[in-house]
Amino acid sequence: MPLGSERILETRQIAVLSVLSALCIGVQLTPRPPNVEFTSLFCFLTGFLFGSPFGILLGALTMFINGFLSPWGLAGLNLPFQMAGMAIIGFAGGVYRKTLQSERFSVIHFVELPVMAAFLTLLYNLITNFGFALIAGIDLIFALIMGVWFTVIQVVWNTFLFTAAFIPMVEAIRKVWSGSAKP
Amino acid sequence: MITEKRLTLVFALGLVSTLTLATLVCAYYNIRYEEQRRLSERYINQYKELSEKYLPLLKNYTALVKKYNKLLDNYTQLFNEYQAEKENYTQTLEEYENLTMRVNICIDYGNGTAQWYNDTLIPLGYDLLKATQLVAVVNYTYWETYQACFIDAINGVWNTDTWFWMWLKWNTENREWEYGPVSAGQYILSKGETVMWRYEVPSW
Repeated sequence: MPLGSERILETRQIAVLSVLSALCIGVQLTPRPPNVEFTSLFCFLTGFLFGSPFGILLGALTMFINGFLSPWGLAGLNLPFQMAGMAIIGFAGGVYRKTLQSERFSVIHFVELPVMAAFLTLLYNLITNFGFALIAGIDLIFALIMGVWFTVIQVVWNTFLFTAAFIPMVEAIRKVWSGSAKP
Repeated sequence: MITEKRLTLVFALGLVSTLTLATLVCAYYNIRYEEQRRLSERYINQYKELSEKYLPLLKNYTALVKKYNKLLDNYTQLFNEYQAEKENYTQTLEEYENLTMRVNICIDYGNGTAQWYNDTLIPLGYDLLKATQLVAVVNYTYWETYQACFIDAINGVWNTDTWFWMWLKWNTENREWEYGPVSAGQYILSKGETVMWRYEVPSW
């Protein structure tokens, strides 16, 4: 590969990463129904496309900014837990790519992705509820139970979103990278 | 083999996620159910307590309603009687009106004080003396020689050597007071007439 094309490729990567980061933070800070979010998808996608470190960084950074500028108010002492939860989702995106045997998606991935989304969202809620329980001085199980509807909403939403949007987005970004989307 | 492992892992993750969510939802419903059950028990107990209080109150209320109805019946009966009496009274009054008349009587004490007895109801054919006795305390002397009454005092104000009670009648045509032509006992009042007793120093 010529030197010049490598540079163009890196530039496109940076551009995609910037767009994903901007979208991630912008959508996260937009007023919306509680726990209906796109951050998990973007962080997982970033981790998937650029590797776990980028996914972790974007997840933590987005939740850090969200902790101060969220339309739902300050995150307060729960902020580190939110950052950790979202960083894990970004990390999982990178790990998931490494487990793939082929760059091509198949039917099995349409089964895996919703399960991954549900599991990771559940894990995120477990971590943030743990933080809330720790701060409020209440039982973790009780916190999980009382917040179950928020968890259910987020799990259902992310399951749907990952199933519907993840693979098309990856395919679209790959096209941009390969240059086939150029006129 | 690897695909089988992936599928097993995915199935396990899915199962864990589903079971966790289902357990949490069930626990949530259980907590809510227990709350509602406790509330229901509390409401049932309150309902029972209130029912126990309600029954005596209902009895009292029923008794009160009976009393009230009885009183209402009495009242209605009394009211009907009152209406009947009123009708009788009105009828009698109308009949009586034909036998009576109204006159205006003034008592002037000569010191700036004057009392008016307007629309005084008196029987037809009443003389001035009797009419005055209806509105004031009158002391008089009957003079056999003149076959007339002479007023000595009205309402405790007695004649003196110079001051006497004189009576006057209002002349509606001339619109002025005129001295009475006869003694009060001899003057028969007519309907709507205006007369005056005046305590004064006569001109004679």
